[in-house]
Amino acid sequence: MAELPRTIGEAAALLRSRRASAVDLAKAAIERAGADPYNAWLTVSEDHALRQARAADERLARGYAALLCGIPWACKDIIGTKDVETTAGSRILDGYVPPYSATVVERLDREGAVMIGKTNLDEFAMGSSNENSAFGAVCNPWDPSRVPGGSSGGSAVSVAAGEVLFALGTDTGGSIRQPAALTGVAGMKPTYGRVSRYGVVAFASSLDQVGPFANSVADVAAVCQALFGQDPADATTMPLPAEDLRRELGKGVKGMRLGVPKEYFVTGIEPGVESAVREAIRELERQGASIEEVSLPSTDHALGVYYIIQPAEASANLARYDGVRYGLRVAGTDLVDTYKRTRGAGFGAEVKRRMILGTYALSSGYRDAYYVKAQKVRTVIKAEFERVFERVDALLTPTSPTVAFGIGAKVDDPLAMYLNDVFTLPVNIAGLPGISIPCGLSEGLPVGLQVIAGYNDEATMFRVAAAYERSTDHHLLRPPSFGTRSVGADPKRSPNATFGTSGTY
Amino acid sequence: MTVAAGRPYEVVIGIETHVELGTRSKMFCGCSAKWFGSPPNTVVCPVCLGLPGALPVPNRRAIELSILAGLALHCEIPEHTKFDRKNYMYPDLPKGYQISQYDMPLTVNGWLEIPADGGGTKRVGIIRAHLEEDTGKLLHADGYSLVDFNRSGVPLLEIVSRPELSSVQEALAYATTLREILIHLAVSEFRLEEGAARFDTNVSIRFREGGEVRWPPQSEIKNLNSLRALEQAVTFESQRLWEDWQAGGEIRTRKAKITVGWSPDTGRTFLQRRKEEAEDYRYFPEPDLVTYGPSRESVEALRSTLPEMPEARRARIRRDYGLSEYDTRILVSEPPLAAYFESVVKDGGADPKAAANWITGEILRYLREKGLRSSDIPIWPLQLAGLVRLVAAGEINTTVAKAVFADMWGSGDDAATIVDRKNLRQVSDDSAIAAVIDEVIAAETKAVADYRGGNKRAIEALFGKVMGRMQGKGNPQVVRKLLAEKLG
Repeated sequence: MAELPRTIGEAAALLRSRRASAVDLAKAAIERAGADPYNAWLTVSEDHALRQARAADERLARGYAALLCGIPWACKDIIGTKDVETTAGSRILDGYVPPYSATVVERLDREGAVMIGKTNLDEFAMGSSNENSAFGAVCNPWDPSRVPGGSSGGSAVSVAAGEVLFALGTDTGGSIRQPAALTGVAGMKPTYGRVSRYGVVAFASSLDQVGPFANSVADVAAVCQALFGQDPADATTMPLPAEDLRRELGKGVKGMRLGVPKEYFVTGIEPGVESAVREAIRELERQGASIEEVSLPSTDHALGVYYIIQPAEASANLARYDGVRYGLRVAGTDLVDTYKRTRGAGFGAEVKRRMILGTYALSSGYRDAYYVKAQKVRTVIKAEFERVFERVDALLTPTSPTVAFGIGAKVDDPLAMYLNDVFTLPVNIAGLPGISIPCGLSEGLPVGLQVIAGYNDEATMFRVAAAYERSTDHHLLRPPSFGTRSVGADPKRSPNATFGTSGTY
Repeated sequence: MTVAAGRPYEVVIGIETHVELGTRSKMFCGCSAKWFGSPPNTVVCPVCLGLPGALPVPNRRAIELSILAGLALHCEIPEHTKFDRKNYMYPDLPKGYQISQYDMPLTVNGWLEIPADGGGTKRVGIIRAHLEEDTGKLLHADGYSLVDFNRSGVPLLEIVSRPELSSVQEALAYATTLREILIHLAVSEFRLEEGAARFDTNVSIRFREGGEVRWPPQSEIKNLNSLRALEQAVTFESQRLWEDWQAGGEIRTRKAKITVGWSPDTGRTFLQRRKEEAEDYRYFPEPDLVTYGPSRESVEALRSTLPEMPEARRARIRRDYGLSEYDTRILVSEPPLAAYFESVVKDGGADPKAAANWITGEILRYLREKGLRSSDIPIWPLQLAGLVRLVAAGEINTTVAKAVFADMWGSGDDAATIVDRKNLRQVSDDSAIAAVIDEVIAAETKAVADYRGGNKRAIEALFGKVMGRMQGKGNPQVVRKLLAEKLG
């Protein structure tokens, strides 16, 4: 089976040198996605992809194409796509084909990127293992008996398994960064308000943010460059001046102050994960960064805050799935009976659990003790981050306390499952940007290093991540299931030639 | 406590008025807010249909109009305001929540002056006016219901009065005064008949019994969609509460309010729900919108655009033009009419009383018959002034003037042009009129004999014949005088 180039930069070079066409790349991606053994895909939209690829080739032929033009990508199936079924991983949206595309999809369409299809996820993005999908669990290419993380598990796997060059996910409490860590790719959540949520099926509106998965920090930055910017259709996006997010990628970390929050190296973290992350921190220190231990004392409360605000918002956001206008309808004896039957049949257990939690937290008599108090603690958590970012340029933490765990290992213990996100969800509570990049293996499975930066300071975050990536080979490690022939590869060069090269462009 | 004469209890009324704002687009999307009359589900988009992923973007004009209404109602405009989600499921509410305002409304704490029952005026407190989105409409058929989302997302201002209205008359005066002010501000067209304005009315009764003041819990009458319904429902419900008390009914033990509906068909209210069953709306701040702080400068800028309020305008028009209370009230009831009137008089130099008669008479009748709005009068003020002047100068009589008016309405021509075109100038010449009278007397022998036999009313028939032969152009005074002479 044909192999895709590793990075967007390499693919863009192939397209411009005419060694491969966008249609070639799309066909290779469609073939790989179609043969995907991990259940990463819910829809492979072949016609749509080939149509976009042909249009991309025309643009490339005219010589005036954006970097992402002709690049095959995968879209988490919670992001609405015009004329392509969008399920959010749920039965309740059965048959729903959006009449409009999300702004992020439109922006990638405008770049000429080629969407191959829609990827599997935990239902309504509620989960950390991708086992909550109504369409079955996703397997981790590093070990198919293990989970890929979640909720954007399908998107992470589509990149990790070399089926596309980048993917979009959504991150409400770690749903991009945690699966990126568990599958050994880069995954990033932007500052809240930098990327439009318009057209993205809402989970927890004040926490949700769209972001990319890719095989290099530079690729992540390139996709962000296309996604970022105020959207008149999303009142929570910010009017920031345009900036080149890649301007600091090559600057290195010499002289930077990097903080290590002590609360992120406590109970529950696997020794192999801790040692890989500590080694990564030492590497950045070797490159000239000064490492400081810092404290975020309210970290312990973040999980509690998250599991009040997130279900509360979700309970309202999911009220619209009532069987009246679209998706599943199970007719009952009267209106309320129809609501009950439709929602009873359409939603999975985890979604119901969170709607009940959220409804409770907002209900009269409990609202002040739960929802209102959680909002106050949220303010405290934000303030602690803001204070720390007065002293340091970025924070370094593990992305997840564990490596990929076995499918089924935690499904009966929601609390253990929720603990997967303890290092990622404070970043959503505060609205900060964070990226997870591969920092080695533990027990043969990928470990992620999380770099967190201050508000709208993605350039600094990318600078730290890129410096680490340049000095190590962890990002080049691939799961053991790759094909051998590369699309557009020069037959005189070794197949690996498309791999080890740096992704600069 | 003021108990009206002839009734053993005082009525205590508070009104929540819901009015659609006169914006061009809906509250949170670009769809037209002028939904009425459109085929079902044609004025919709992902946002007002609540499709997955759609997000609200607030309508700046709706916020401005709400502040304007608040200022006219002497409200404070707090420095911070926000929107909240009010959660409940119903098929006409596509998101499963309504975006509304819970604890930080746009405007609070004002008052409205209304004519009081005992003469003079009375200030009624306004608790708040907050902005929200309207719902869709359900159409019930046999065994199923249909939903029309055209109205979904239209901006709705909810104005909450204090329970300070003490009679049905005051409730009506409040509703009428509020309606007039909002129409004057162009904040709302207040179209009750289109369901674009509704009243939720809290009614309770207060009375003395055994030396103690009794004030049992109120009834909230939902969704009253006309002044007549308001009047009838409040009258019915207050009397029902009193009779229930007298009969030792459930009102004696009930602790909380009830919600009732009004059936115009039966002329009765019916129970919708008790407080114990009340919904828990689980309000929380709308995370898709950011909090908003109207700047003091923008509030003052809006204040400076407040137009003359209706009461002041009536006083001025009565004083400046010497019109009757009745004419003034009609003219000021619709701002375009008052503006039209002032233009006919000031720009066109027409006699105020005559101009007012034309507007409150023919123009209103034509507007009604043609289904037009008062802003759509096809005759220009200067044209109407021209017609008024022709009548005043004796060039045409009033009967002919009405025909000329009808022509003007259709053709758009000036009155003088029509009079010339149709040769309608009044004939006052004695000899011409006398000749016609002679013909009529010769032809109508029976009527002439009746008259001469003592039936003086027979002259009317002869007058009609003369005017008829003259195509209505005869000067009526001259015709009468000559006819009486010749018969006499």
